[in-house]
Amino acid sequence: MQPDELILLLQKQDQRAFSKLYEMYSESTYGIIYNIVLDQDLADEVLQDVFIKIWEKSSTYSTSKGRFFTWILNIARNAAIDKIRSKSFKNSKKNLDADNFVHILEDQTNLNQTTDTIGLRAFVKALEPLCRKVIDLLYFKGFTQVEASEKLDIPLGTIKTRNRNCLKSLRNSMGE
Amino acid sequence: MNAQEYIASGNLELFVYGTLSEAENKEIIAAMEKYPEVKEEVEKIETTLKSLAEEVAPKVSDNVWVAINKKIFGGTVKQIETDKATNWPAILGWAASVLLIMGLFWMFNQNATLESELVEIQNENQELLEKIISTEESLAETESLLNILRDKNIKAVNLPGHAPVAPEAFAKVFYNQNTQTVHLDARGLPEPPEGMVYQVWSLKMDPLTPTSIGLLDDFASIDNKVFVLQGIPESEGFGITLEPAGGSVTPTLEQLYTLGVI
Repeated sequence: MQPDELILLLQKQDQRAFSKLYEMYSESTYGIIYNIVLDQDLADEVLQDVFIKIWEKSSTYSTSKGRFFTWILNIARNAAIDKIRSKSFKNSKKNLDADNFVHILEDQTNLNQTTDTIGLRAFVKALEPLCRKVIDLLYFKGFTQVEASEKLDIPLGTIKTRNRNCLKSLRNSMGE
Repeated sequence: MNAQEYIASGNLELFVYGTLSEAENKEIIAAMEKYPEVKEEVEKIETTLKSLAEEVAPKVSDNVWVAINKKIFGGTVKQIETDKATNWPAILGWAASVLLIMGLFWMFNQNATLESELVEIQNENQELLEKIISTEESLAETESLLNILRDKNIKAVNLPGHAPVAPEAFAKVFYNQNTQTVHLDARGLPEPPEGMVYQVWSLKMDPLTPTSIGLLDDFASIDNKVFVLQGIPESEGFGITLEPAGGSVTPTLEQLYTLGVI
C-alpha cells in the first residue's frame, strides 16, 4: 500500500506528514544510498539532502508518473551517485562497481538485528551470485537492462526474466 | 496483455526500480488501474525491495532527522548558533556603512563651505572689477580735462573771492573762444545753502553787461567740481552769484561770490 493521504499532505507542506513519511521511507532510502557511497558519514549527508529535496520538490511527484517509493529511489540514487562522483570522494578510491549489497551484509557488524532481518540476510547470502549482481545493478544502482546486459555479459532478453525470478525467490523466503 | 501476462513480463519489477521508459511506465500504470492483481503484485514487489534496502545498511542515525529538521524548519540548535556567533561580516558591513555615511556628510559639508567661499570671492571680484572700471572712467575723464586745458586756445581766468561776501572763495575759468566753451573749476566755492544755486555770468565791460551762461545745479553731486558750459558769447570776464533755485534774470550783486576779468 502506498500512503496516498500522507503524500497529499506532504504536498501541502504538512510537517507531521513529512515526519511520518520519513519514518516509513528513511531506512530503505538509506539502504540504497549506503549501497552506493559505502560510507556511513557520506550516506548520512546524502540522506539528509534527499529528504530535504523530498520536502522541497514534493509537488513534482504525481501518482500518474509512478510509485512514490520509485520517485524517492530515483532521487536517492542520483544524489548518492553525484556524491561519489564529486571530487572530494574520488580520493577515497571507491566506485560504483566495487561492491554490492551482499558484501555489505557480510562486512557490517552493526546492521539491524531483528529476526526477520536475519532470515532475509540468510536468503540474500544464499542467492546465486548472478542474482545478487542483477538485483544490485538494476535496483540499487539503477542500471538499464542494456547497461546491465553489457556489464554482466548476458543476453539482453534474459535480464528481465532473471531479475524477476531472483526477486521471486527472495519474496518466497520472506514467508509469503 | 492480460493481468497474468503483465505479472509474468518482468516489467513490474523494472517499473518499481524506475528503469522503464516513459511509455512503458504509462502502460503499467494503466494496467494497475485496470487489473487489481497487477496493482497488488506491484505493491508486493515494492515491499520486498523496500525491506531488502532496509536490511543492507546500518540503522539511520537520529542525527540525520535532527539535521533535516534544522535545515528545513530552522531548529533550536541553529538559532543558538546564530545568537552566539559573532557575525563579523555583518558587523563589518554595518561599520563600513556608518563610515561611508560619515564620509559623505563630511564631504557634503566641505562642499557647502567651498561653495560659500566661492560666492564670497566672486562678489569680491565683482567689486574690484567695478572699482577698476570707475577708476578707468575717472582716469579717462581726467585725461580729457588735461587735453582741454592744454589746448592753445584756452584762456585761464582766475575768479578770486569777492571780499564782502566770500573772501575765501575762488574759482577758475578755462575759456575757449573758438568752441564757445567754458570749463569752470568751482572747487573753491562753498556748498550752496538749501534752495540756492550758483549762477555763472559772462561779462562785457563797457558798459558792464552780464549774460547768464548756466546754473551749477548739481553742485553737490559732482566730485571734481569741474563744470562744462557751452554756447558762451564773447566774454571779457566771468562772475558767479548765489541765486534762488532756478536762477535769476539779472545777477544779485549782494551775493556775488567771485569775479574775474580776462
